[in-house]
Amino acid sequence: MSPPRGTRRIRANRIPRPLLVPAVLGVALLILPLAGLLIRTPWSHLGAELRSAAAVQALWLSLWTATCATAISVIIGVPLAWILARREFAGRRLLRALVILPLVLPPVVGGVALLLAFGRNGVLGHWLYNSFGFSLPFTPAAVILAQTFVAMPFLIVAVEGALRSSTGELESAAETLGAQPWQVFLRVSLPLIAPSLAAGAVLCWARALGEFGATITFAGSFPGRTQTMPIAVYYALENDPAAAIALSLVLLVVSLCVLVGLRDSWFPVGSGLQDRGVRT
Amino acid sequence: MTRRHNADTSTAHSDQPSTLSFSGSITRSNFELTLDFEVAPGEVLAILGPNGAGKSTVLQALAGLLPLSSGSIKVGARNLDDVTSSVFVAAAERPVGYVFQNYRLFPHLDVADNVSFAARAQRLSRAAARERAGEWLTRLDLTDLAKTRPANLSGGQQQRVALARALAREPAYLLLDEPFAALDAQTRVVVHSEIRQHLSGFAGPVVLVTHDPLEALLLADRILIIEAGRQVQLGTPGEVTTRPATNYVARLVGLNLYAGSCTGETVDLSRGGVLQAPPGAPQGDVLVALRPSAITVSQTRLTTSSARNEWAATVKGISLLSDRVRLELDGAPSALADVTPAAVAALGLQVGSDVWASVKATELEIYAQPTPAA
Repeated sequence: MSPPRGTRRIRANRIPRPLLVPAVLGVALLILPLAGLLIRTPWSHLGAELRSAAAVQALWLSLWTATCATAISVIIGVPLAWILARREFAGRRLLRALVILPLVLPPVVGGVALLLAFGRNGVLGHWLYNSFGFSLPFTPAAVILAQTFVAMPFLIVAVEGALRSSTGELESAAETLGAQPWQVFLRVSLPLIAPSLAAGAVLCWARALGEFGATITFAGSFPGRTQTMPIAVYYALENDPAAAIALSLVLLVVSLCVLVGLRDSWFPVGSGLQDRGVRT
Repeated sequence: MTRRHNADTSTAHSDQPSTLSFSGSITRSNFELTLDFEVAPGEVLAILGPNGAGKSTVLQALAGLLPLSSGSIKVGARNLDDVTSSVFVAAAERPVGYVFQNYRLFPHLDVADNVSFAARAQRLSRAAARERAGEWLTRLDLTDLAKTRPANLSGGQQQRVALARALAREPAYLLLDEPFAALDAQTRVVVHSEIRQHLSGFAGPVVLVTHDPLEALLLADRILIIEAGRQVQLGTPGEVTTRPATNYVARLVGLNLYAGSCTGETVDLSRGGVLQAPPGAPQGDVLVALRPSAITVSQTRLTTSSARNEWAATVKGISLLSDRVRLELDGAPSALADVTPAAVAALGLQVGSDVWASVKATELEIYAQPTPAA
């Protein structure tokens, strides 16, 4: 008993014009620059551009520093997230606010702060230099530190959220089975938050890879030493636009891969549906 | 938590089953609960009460997931929680087996790893722990499911895994929180008898929490009833079902209950009405329990009846139970009365009908009013 065809229009799915026009503008604003990048990409000699010594250097530096920053973020960020999620103490809210501050802080301010703390005349840096003759700024270690500072909050937020949302009941079940707190963490909490941890680590890595402001302020721009890809793109734009575009394209592709990769990690694992091959 | 952690293991549970005793209060933001009970080895105590009464928090306190606000918990001579002497044994150190509501199986571990979790926590190797767990898998008929993840188990299977996991720790006492709530009605019937069998094989005390009177009656040796933050009755299923201590308990077990004062063979009911008691009834403040099915309902006064109690009433409500009709009678006293559907038709009963209710004196269960628990 379906209604006769053509007698009425389905209006339920229509987008009101006052919403449609700005939305289309939004899409254009976000997509057109990327299209411009693709149009201007020197496809014919893209391979040569990417194989140039400068490009390879920047690429390699970015990859290993971002990976180190992610590893450090996991090692110190997961325990921090656990404490924020699982323990009540005075000043916890303040601590959480401070920990995630770099999410909203202009990165260049982060760079200045790092310089004031770890620079040769900085609060900690002064002591480091006098005691060990070690100066942090303008080294690859400074790059890693700057990236960790800016990117670790992404991981902490993801892990803390996962801890808060689900595993408390299972942790107390583990306690009643005789598991000590450390065992509860290793055998129950950590496996259960693994998908969120992976997603947080990928986000953290992507953010570290794209880090510019804090890095250039704190670590400078020495090719092969502290000049990461985003910084290399910035300088190449002046005298070698083709190289800049090629490097930008690489960063764009990496970002797309991260996005596609995260799509799966963000679905809860262990719902049992995938395991049994059920399609819903 | 400010109380120090008790590292003293010299009085750790021996293999000799010991009595579990709870005497104290639990305070949460929205309620306070004060209880006093002991559970003997091999005994099953059911804690029965409405949802939200804090039944589960009793188990949490027994397990060491929640500290008492006053009083103590002991197993045998060992203090697990004692507010006055500042002893608090953490959950991981208590010899407890806990079957949670919804079971709380570890979703990332298969059945064998779930059951061997306690052994792994004692730093046994994975192989050794799984071997030890094998015995429990066999006992609870889970061997075929050893490599299955909890998400792929039925409710009844999950319950068996939870029980095996708790028993594999070889606890001194066992706690079950609404073990059947997550099961559908059909599975429940099968599982009741299974659980009964497994519980009878456990040597230590068992505390079971439920909101379902039937479960308490089927599984427990004694029933503790909680109402409004305190225990209102502690007794065998027989005692609770024939001599309920409060209206709440009477409702749970489906009885009419009246408070009154008995002089000779006359009970003056405090909320109106007089009942004739059989000879030898206790004197003074009493409770009278009356089965709804013991009440006879008629249209006219039965002048030639042997029933010594007869009073006028109005039908306020009619509801169909499985094989009988429950009448809500308004009168002195008001009562629930069960009659057959045929009787309803024959008497032409409807809401508003005026009837006569009658009951034999010998059908009344009359007992002294219990003194309220301290």
